[in-house]
Order: sequence, then structure tokens, then C-alpha cells
Amino acid sequence: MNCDKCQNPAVAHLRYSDIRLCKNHFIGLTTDRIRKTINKNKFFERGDRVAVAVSGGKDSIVTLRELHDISKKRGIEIVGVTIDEGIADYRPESIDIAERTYKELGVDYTILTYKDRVGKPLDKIMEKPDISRACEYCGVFRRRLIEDGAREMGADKIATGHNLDDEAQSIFMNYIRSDFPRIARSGPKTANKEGFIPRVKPLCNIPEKEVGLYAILKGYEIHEDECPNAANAFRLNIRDHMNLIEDKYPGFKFGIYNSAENLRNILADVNIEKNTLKKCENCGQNTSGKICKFCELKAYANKE
Amino acid sequence: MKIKIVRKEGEKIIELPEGARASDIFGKLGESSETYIIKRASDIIIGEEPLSDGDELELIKIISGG
Repeated sequence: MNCDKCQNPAVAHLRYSDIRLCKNHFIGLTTDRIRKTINKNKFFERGDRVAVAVSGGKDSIVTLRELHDISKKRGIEIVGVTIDEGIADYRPESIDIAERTYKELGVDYTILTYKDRVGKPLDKIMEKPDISRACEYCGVFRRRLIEDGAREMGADKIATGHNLDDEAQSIFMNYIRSDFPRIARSGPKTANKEGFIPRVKPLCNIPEKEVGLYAILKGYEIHEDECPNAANAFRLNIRDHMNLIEDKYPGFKFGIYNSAENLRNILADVNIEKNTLKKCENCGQNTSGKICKFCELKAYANKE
Repeated sequence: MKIKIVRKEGEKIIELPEGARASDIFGKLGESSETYIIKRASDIIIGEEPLSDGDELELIKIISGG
């Protein structure tokens, strides 16, 4: 099968829009889409220092390299934040890839560890008999450490590698939980809120498979193992079901993504936040209760 | 026709009817086409590509998260 734009062999079939593309046309289209997302949502201002959260996986490596490519022209500075959760046989290799990429690009970076910042590596936390869902803890800890690392690097924005699949899964999970405030708060760019560094997602409308293909075609070094703790995650079950539906009904994931975009437009004039933010009595970070989730889970993880 | 599937976790021969296309392997494997990139003789191919008896396909898994 050949490319719809030239006679070269097709390497991608974007079934949701029924387009077949060769290597060069696929790379060109994907780069354009990432840049359009950045422009349309006004992600950056000249002089911004942007902290890219880099694990070494395909999504974060593509995000880092794409933002680095445009950084000079846009007048932005790229720095990196990598989190070492302390997962043996998994994370060390991906951190090596992240560090090699930082060094190749000449990007300043910091590595924050759960051991130092939470008190224990994740593997130790998971030894507690009453903690079975690693992602519940890991998600909260990682999010905070990325925020802390970005702040320590003097960043104005945080860029993450969330792709279309990640976004569609999150939206779907939030629908199930009726967490409409969270849907309203999310999207390609989070609002400028006191106490939080705004987050941007340059890959938010690129399907996961296309991010992977893009990384392979560009010859990027990426980490290719799955987190050993992910197998039981609710999100992975959602992912598998969504993939099977997408097989039958191409465009399903974009449908979910667009539904949230439309909902956000409707909710824009409605104040649906139930709670006003307070400061955590322990760490001073924003929270809806007395103690933030990070401090609550950290205390529990370290309780003997 | 017989198609050889090569994945990180091992190799497998599957039977498909004449006229099958690359995407037809996923039904046999019970997997989603969203999860893999297909290579034949080191070239990436799309799901619509017709297969021939004896083809060897390498499946590259797209890993989530990380």
C-alpha cells in the first residue's frame, strides 16, 4: 500500500481520517499537529523556562525533543525533571536513556527520588501488606515531585508527554467517577492557578501508537518496558477496552477527547469547584482539605 | 496460509485464509491493532497490506505510560 500523498510505501494508516502516509509525510504531519497544538493553545510565552517531565519512555522523549527543536525560535528554555520512583529492574534503564538524551541536547536537568523526597523507594512502600495499588500512591508522589523539581529548576511551565490515549482514558475514568470538576480543570493546558505551575501537553491529540511510530521512525532511543506495577491498574483495563473499540470504530478515542473539550466549553462559565483551595497544614501546598493527598499518603507509606 | 509472528515474548505460526491482510492477525492473536506496529522484512507495513503464505511479521509493542 502506498502513501496517499506520494508513491512511497505507507508506514501509517490513520484510520480515523482514512489517510495512508509514508515515513516522510507521517513525520511531517505529526510534527505539524504537535506545533499546531502548541500554537492554538498558546502554551508558551517568550522567555518561558519549560520543565519537561522525562521518564525515558516514548512520550516524554518525543515531547523533550520536539520542544527542544522549537526552543530557540520560540525564545523558550528547556530543562528536564526526571523522577526515580525506586522500581528495581525497570526505572534505572529508563533514567539512563533520559540522561543520555538530556546530555545529547545540552539540557539542564534534575533527578528527584522517592527515597529522598517520600522517605522510601516505591518497591519498599509496596512491601507494606495493606498497600496493593501502587499507582494510587505513585501517581500522587510523582505528580508532586515533578512540581517540586520544576519549581527548583525555576520553571514557568511543566510539559508532560500525555498522548491522546492517556487523555481519553482519564476523561473516561472521570466520567465514571462523575468528577466533572477534574474534567473542567484538565485539557491541553491547565489554568494559571496560584500555587501551581501551569502544565501543558503537546502530544494530547496524537494517538499513542502514532507517538510510538514517530519515535521509531525518528530513531529516538526510548525505554520500551512496561512498569511491573501497571498490570493491575484500572487504567490498563480501560486502555485495553478502548483499544478494542477503536479497532471496530476508528475515531472513538478522538470522540471521547472531543466530548471533554465540548464539556469544558459549556462549563467555562459555571463555577463547579465545590471547595476553595486551602494550604496543607503540613507542607503548605494547595489542598481542598487540611492535609494534602501527598502528605497523607507519604505518612501512611512511612508508618511502621 | 501460514504466517509466522515474531514478538519479544516468542514466535508463533498462525493460519489465515487466502487474501488475508496484515490487520487480520490481531483477531487470531486476540489483541488490538492499536497496540502494535507491524514489520515485514524490516519494513514497517500498514494493516491493509495483503499477506502471502510464509510471510514473517515482527510485532513491535507500543508501551503505555512510563
